[in-house]
Amino acid sequence: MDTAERTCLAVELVLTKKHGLKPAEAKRMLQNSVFYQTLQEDPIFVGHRSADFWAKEILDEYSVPH
Amino acid sequence: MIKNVGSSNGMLHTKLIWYVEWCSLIHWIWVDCRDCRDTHFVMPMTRRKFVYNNRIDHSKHLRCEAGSNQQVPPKYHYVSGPLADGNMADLLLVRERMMSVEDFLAEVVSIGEQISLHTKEAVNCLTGTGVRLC
Repeated sequence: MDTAERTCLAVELVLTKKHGLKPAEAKRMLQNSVFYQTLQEDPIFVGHRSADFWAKEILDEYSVPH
Repeated sequence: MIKNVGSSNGMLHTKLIWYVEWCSLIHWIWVDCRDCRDTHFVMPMTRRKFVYNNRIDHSKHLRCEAGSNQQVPPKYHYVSGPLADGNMADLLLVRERMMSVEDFLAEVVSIGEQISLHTKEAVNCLTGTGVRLC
């Protein structure tokens, strides 16, 4: 598993375990997020923030309270 | 660049030149630090474990062989040495036991040198000598 895949896995875990999203929903939100786009373009930038931080960014993007 | 100019009366007396590049500014700051405890890691694996200790949030996961962590409680006035890079999201995988600590440590690489100040005493040692536009 490369760094980008590990990062996605970690963010998905936060979305499902901490914020209660269903796995399919978490994956769909993640793959259509600005986070995912940023991860493809600048993985080093993304790597400087925690999975918790990115999960909250995704929830904010979809206006999901957390 | 860190220059050790020796000790005085058995106390640590280190004169440092600290420079930070940020946007178009270069800050040149002299640091005259007396009685400050410091640590400068030269062993890469020790440094990696120190970085790991600083990034985790549960003391039970501390790698004691690294000797310390910086946060619980702050143990050093300042820390100098390699600037560590790595993937923060991996820490969650370590916590969930989906990645080993050893694999995490292997991913930590140095991308330069840094000095970080962690106590008021260390900050009080700073003397600003100006800012130069470049």
